Amino acid sequence: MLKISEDFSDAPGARFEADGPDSGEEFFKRLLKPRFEEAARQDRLLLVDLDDTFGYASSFLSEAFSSLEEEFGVENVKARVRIKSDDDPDLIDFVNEIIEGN
Amino acid sequence: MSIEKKVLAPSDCSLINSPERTINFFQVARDGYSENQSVIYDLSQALEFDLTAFAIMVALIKDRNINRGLVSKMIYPVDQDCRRRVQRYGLWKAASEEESDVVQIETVPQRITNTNVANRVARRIVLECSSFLDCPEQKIPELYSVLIELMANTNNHAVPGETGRFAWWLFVRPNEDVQGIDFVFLDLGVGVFESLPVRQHVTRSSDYSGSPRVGAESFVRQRHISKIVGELSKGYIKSSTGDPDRGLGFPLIFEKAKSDRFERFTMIANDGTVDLKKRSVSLINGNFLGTAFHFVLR
Repeated sequence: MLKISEDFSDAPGARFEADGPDSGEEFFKRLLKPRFEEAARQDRLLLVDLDDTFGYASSFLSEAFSSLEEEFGVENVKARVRIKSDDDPDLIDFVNEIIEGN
Repeated sequence: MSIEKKVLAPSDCSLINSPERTINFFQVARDGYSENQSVIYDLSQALEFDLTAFAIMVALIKDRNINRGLVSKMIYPVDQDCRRRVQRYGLWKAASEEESDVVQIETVPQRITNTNVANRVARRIVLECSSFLDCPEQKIPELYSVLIELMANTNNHAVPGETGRFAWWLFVRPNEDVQGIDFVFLDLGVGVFESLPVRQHVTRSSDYSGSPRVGAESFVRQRHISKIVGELSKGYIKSSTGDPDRGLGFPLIFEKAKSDRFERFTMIANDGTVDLKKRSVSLINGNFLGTAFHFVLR
């Protein structure tokens, strides 16, 4: 499991590292991509928990998950990634739409 | 000999209540700096000087790209209530007992970050607001998301080739009238309705053929701005990079603005005012060079 508030930051930033700290780009490079690769090697699902942060900018989620989709392909990501968001259930659809490129 | 330009503030100095007069007041001040003149902000006739006016004034006197390092001075409001409000904003350390005295404005350099998104500032503001409002939960996700989106969108809608030149300004103050907290988020760029992504979108789309710019006939211009607002809120207007994953910031701001947490949510840019809660647009007879958001958190 990858819990953003504990493993990365409870105050996620915006899209690019150049925008400021704790960006979606940084999250993808430092955590999401390596954890996805690890899950793929072990043939496991990767649960990404969005809860317990202060909130999200659309650009943070968009950058992180569209980068994942671009690098590993829609079907591969859809098959292996699950999203948990009890605080804001709408974010689950939002992220899934990003992965599907909508 | 230094040349000074005195600009008289309107009696109701507020982007919300009196946008045309307030925009004109600050534009004349801005023109003064452009003409290499020191500016005296004459607030003597002001009965109201709200946080939106204060935000613009601070931005003008602090941003050296605008004021060119020229001196800024101020004449206090004669009205005692308004005078106290201006003093409470805390910008001016020197206070004269003489109502007509001109007071030089303190120009302590503002701390400037190298990045446009200050997530840790947003986090701190959320914590302070939840404490002030006695929220049972410490986090206010609507507020945090809106603050990050506003910061992130500043450069998306700035001038091409000048990314990062225009600073953003965020002002937060208790609003005793509604037992809430007033926010003003401001950038003095070109204004969202005349920004590069919007202009590119308008040029590309056949629906906008012959689109009017600022100053066009009001009915046509109002329809034009309403259409832009509708498309911004749906994420149809992408950033200047054309990246399909971008352009999602405005839809999120519009969505979060609907929250009951926000008492009001208004955007002013160029010649348009948008009520984000009611999704209504009204025209201003003027051109505000920048984009300002005003909202009240409860």
